[in-house]
Amino acid sequence: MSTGRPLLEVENLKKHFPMTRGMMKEEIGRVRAVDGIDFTVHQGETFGLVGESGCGKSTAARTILRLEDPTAGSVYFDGDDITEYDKAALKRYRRNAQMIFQDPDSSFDPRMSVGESLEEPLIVHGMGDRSLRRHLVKDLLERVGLQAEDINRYPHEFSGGQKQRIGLARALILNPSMLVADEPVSALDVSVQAEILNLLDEFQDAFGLSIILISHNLGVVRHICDRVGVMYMGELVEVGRTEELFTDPKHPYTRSLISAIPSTDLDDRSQRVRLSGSVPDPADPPRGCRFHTRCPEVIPPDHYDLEQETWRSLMDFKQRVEERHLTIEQLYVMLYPDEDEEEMDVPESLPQEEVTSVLSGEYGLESGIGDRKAAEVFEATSGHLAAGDLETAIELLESEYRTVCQQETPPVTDEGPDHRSACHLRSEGAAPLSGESESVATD
Amino acid sequence: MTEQPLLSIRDLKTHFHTDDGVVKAVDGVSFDVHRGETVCIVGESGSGKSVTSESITQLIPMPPGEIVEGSVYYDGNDITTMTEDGVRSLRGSQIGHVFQNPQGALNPVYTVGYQIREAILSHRDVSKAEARELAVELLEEVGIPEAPTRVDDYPHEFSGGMKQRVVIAIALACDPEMLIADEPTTALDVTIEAQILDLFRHLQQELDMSIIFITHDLGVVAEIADRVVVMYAGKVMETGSVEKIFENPAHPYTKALLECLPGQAGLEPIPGALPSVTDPPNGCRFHDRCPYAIDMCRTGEQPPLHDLPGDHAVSCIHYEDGDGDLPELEDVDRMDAAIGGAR
Repeated sequence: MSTGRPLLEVENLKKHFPMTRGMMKEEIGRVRAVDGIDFTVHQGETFGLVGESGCGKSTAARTILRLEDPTAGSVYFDGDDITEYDKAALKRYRRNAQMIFQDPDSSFDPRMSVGESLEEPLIVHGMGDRSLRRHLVKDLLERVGLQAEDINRYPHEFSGGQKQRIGLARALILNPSMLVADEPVSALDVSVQAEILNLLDEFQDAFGLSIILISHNLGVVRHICDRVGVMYMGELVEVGRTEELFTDPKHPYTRSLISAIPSTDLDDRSQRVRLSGSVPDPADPPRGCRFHTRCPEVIPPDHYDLEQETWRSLMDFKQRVEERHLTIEQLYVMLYPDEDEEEMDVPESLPQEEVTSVLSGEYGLESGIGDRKAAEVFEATSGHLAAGDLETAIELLESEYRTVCQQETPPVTDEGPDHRSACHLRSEGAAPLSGESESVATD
Repeated sequence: MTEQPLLSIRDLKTHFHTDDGVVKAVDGVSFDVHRGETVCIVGESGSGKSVTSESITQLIPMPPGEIVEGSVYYDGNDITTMTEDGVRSLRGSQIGHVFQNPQGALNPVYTVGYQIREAILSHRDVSKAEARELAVELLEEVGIPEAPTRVDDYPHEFSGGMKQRVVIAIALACDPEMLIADEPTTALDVTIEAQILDLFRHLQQELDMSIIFITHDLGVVAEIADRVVVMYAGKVMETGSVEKIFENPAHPYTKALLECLPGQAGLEPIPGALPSVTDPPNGCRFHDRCPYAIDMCRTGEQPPLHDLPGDHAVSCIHYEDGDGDLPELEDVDRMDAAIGGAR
């Protein structure tokens, strides 16, 4: 399977959406929905794209079908770069690459019979006469487990699972070589999910279809995909063969995702990695590794002797300060939450000890930081914050609480045949930052 | 388990009168919820799990809905016979609700603090300043960081998971003894879902609350339930402790549900579709999708819940004598012949 040239090759694909303001459409920023992804799909293979909502997996799929024009990068389909296709070539491409959608209710025109909906792709591509088309539609309806007589019925007469079968029939009627399935079963009940997944499997074998399956449900992905790519904030953090990726995940994000799946094994209760926080703003992605703001395994500097959990808390604190959240007004409210907001009279500075203790409480550091140096930095920062000097606090944290995860973009590491990840923990030579930054140290 | 349950539903029937006929959404459901316990109601869409939970505090629109029969005893009192005022004072102050979509449950034009205060002030006699203080405490309780400053933010400034935390804070505003959560994590990502499930667990330990948790996801059930009620087409198919349901499922429907989870070894869909809600089949509601169905399953009423050893009961005639087991599949036809012959 993997010897010949892959059917689909995606190279450094990017799709940015500009955010504009005013009448002149002045660009004030970009949402980097897809930000440089690479993967390949072979003929007859199922490739899964997983990630949380907003990670760019659907945009990636739409861009591959050229429902969106890519900002940069190439997509080779059967050797041709589809980003350079003209209108006629694009139409030919779309015969070969089809899509099914999440919500079977809204993907059909309620006033068209099933036969009309299924015939339409054939008409658009100028295929067959009416009787041949009807014959093809009836044949396909039977293959997806419905009846030929259903051709004259309307979408509302079918259940959700049946509608999804019709959706699949419509996608397959042009005999495509690639199918993009965007959350094809997440709107369906579990008992019906299994039917649709089995059907996908069956058709793949029968037609040698390549499938790109997009899902946030890792159970579904594990069940039917040959290879999986894990996306986070527009980037692929890990790509590998399904079994390998699920049994031996290399990236902390993959580990967290897998561990978050509720399992039916009662012994597994609460034995899980927990991700703190939610996905950051894609218009302003974090520096370095984009996952470092939530990563439970974010790398501490060499010269600190800390529990991993404490370092995570300190990084959360740093991030909060960097976002300019801990202003003196906010600290005042945290110190005296009962005071009426209108009558608040915020002084120039706050008692340092109280600020330190309220911040320790907020970040779960009451039981001590462990490392003397790190604790001193924390106290010094609280002191700057208590005096209302946010800038000095930011500088101090920037120079003292350093992590390679925030400083540098992680390189892609080969994890063996057909398995790669992008994490500093996995890349050789990217040892934790040592205390080389003496120039900015405080003592 | 000798103490009186906090909530006891007996033979509840909630029907909807529609143009197509009477929809028997809930058709004779009974179960108990004890203090400090999490009961999960699980089933496919259309099984009546949401209507059951909404019937408890009469949140269903009446008409077209109607509680035709049965009782809901809360702390010994029958809610179905209470006046509207009585039910309203129960709702919110003793029974809190959390819904699936946090977006729809919050009002976008008020700060979250205002919305929590509103819930507090409508049930408790406290000053505005005290209510504000309570709101901050509640936000802290549900794990919103920097609660004192976040209390004045608007819903759109919170992420989906954080919004659900706010909704939970509102539901907790009056120290309810019971929380009814209808698919509270279905709209969330798995990573966020895990956080919210942790929160429910933590709250229950801290506040000793009873929780009714409605979900279609058996993974979530395994994660948080003490006891499970499996519903199908308005009927209870099986109920029992979470260990019994997962390690020793008795009803063919429960077995089938567990077998069609993706990620397991075999992926066995359940053939057929949910029966008609206006004209349910005779006998067991599941019989036409059940591989173990024999002629007796196709006539009469849904079999009663037969008690099995331990905290476990099942509505299936194969367990009539109290223990029993499902027959081997190849024996099913022979059983029909034998029973037919005896007749």
